[in-house]
Amino acid sequence: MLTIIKILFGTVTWSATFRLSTPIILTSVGGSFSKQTGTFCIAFECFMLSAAFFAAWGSYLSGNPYIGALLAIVAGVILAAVFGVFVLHFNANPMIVSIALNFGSWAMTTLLLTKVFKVRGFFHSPKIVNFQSIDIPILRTIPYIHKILNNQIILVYIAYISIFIGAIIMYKTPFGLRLRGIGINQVGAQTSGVNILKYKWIALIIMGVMSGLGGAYMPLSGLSMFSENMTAGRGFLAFAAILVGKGNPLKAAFIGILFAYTNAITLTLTSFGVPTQLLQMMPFVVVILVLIISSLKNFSKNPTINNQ
Amino acid sequence: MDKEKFVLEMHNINKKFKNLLANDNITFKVRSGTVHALIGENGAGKSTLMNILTNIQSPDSGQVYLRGEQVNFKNPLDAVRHGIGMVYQEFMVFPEMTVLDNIIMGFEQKKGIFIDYKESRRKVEEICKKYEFNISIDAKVDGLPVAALQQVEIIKVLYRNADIIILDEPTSVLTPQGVESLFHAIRFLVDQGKTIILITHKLKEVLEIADDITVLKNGRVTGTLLAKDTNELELARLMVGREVILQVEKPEYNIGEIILKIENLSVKDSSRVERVKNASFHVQAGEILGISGVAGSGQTELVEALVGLSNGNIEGQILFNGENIINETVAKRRKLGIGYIAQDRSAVGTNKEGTIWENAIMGYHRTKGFKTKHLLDYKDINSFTNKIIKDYAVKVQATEDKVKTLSGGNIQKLLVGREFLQEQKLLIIEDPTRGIDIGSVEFIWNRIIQMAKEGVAVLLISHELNEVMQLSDRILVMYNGSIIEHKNSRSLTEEQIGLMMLGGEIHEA
Repeated sequence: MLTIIKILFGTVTWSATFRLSTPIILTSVGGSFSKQTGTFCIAFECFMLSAAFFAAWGSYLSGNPYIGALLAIVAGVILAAVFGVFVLHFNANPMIVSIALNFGSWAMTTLLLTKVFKVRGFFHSPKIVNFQSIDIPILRTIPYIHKILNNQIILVYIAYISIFIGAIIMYKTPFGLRLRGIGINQVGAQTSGVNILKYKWIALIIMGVMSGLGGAYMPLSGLSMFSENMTAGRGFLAFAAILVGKGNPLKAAFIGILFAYTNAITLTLTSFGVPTQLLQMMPFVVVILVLIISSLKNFSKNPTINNQ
Repeated sequence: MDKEKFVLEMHNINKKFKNLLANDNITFKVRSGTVHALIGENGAGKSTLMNILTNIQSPDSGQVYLRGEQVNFKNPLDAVRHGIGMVYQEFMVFPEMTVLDNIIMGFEQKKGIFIDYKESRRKVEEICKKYEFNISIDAKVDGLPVAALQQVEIIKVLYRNADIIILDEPTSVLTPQGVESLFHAIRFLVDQGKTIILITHKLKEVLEIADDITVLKNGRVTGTLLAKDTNELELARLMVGREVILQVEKPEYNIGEIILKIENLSVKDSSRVERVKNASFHVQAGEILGISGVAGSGQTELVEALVGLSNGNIEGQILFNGENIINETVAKRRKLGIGYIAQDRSAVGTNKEGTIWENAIMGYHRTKGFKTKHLLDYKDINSFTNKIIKDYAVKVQATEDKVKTLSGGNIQKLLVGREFLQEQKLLIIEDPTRGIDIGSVEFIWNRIIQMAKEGVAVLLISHELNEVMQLSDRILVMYNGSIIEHKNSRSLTEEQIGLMMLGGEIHEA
């Protein structure tokens, strides 16, 4: 009994949740913006994976993780722009562009891995300098919380702050109102004098920056390495969080945390001898459950339409 | 009229689309503080003219003067800043947002980088109070009735400080009471010094509310008159260029055997509410049976059951030539000779993204002709499409064009032609003249009578009481799911039928 409580509420699990949720939260907060403008994008895997590679490379070359993160953001923005050019200007099917980008980035990073670092599979080097964990004095004195929140790297804090900043921008500023307006009724927004293309582009760039940061987290959070297909589905988890959260950063982040929590529990459970293959399924099972539950809610809503 | 001050003048406006002259040297002047009706058939150039005014389209030539000064708007927003506000026929609302968010969208009161909701709310409430709009501004737009949505749209243009408010076909979506309160609002706005441009083709309403009237026909102005000096007949003549008296001649002819017989039909919808209650009636060959009723009285469900589109629970019998077809598919029913003209021509009747020829054969591509064996026969298709276009006077540029490029009246004619040119025994026609111009209405009415004369049984379900009364041999009233039949339905007056539609009873005189 005690062990179950320890697994569910222990500081180890929550601290891991806090860490593991970071890339998903960063990406889903950014993706929420493009979702609200009605742009359908599932290329987060691409943005994150490419960003992860460039983060590792930047840090390797400069010895400074911030340079790595900056390079990751640039990569994220450029790829988001590629997506934007195809979808917003050439009217390409966003699904197909996303799929192409996802597979393309896997191939590209794998190729770069062999060309730049002359290795296959993964590249590990102490020259890839990680972000240092930050010790916050105020947190030090609080029991329990201190073990969870303190001594995390800066990206973790940025992620959690970004949830609230994202929500405030979305729901309290004219920018957010117009953004949401475009997604609901594009023609309506147009007649209200909103420059649709401009807003869609801004949202895409926000998405690029945030998923770039999300990607940078993985190689620079203590691993000092980049491996082939390092994101391993996190982009899709972020996408699911955005969809379920309906573009609301708070809800999307909540779903992201739920995924991370499941992931964290499975990490702890591994030490109890439960088969890892089974455990690794867990986050995705949760995705499916969450999707079913959230669509059940809509399902029960619908029949009432005829009742007037 | 000349001595009065014009708030808006449009001089010699020309606009050409491909080879269609949409606006041909139009001059349009609006006096300040009046209701100016802009009327004309579908495709007469009303929308183009207004789009030029709000700068959604730019004219090929011509000048616009606002309060005596020549203006040249750079974009639609510029027109808004100059005090021109448009309420579109299809409302530009954001359903998931509140009324307040809908109104301030794009023109928010700001405090730093944030929306100043306090100030926005104050401004909107002030407008609601001043113009006597009674609407809860925190409600979500989702659940509001159409009349309230229209109010939201009007408040929106007032919030943007519009002096000139363009209302595009504002009454087409409203109930009679809704129209009444809209007109009240319009009069009030004019009293407050606003100028209203009313785009419509409902003559009665024009005469009731407008001060000045400009009539367009085929892109030209055919008349500029004062409402008090004119009448429906004159306006109709200017609109279509001939005396349209909306009364059709119905010749006498024989009525044949029973084609469709409904016995104890009940339809329950997906939430198990009984929409059609124990309905029994019949339609004979050569007869037009009209069903009138207030919208939502069960007509839709009845028609769906007859055509085979219903996904609810149906009980009873639908006898077509004595054979119960209640479980037959739509395709089978069509094959038997049941034609259907849907109420919603753009969602049900046609595929808007499809080409004209595709829509011309839609529904008949398998049952009749149009195929050699497995492939489409383009020769046959083309000749049939051209036959519809010719016989039913559909104005098209090319049969390869998409249906959505046509005006409402032309789409309806195409649809009517498609159904009428097949060998039908029964035609189920729902609101055949909804939202189309008088010329097309008269044309379609005459075709319906023609079909009946040729021995087709016609079931006409319409929300326009006048239409039912003009065309029908017998009239049924549908009220709350029940069919009410009066022995001598042809002798009933409009008032009496209206009473039945609202659940009143008529005593045999």
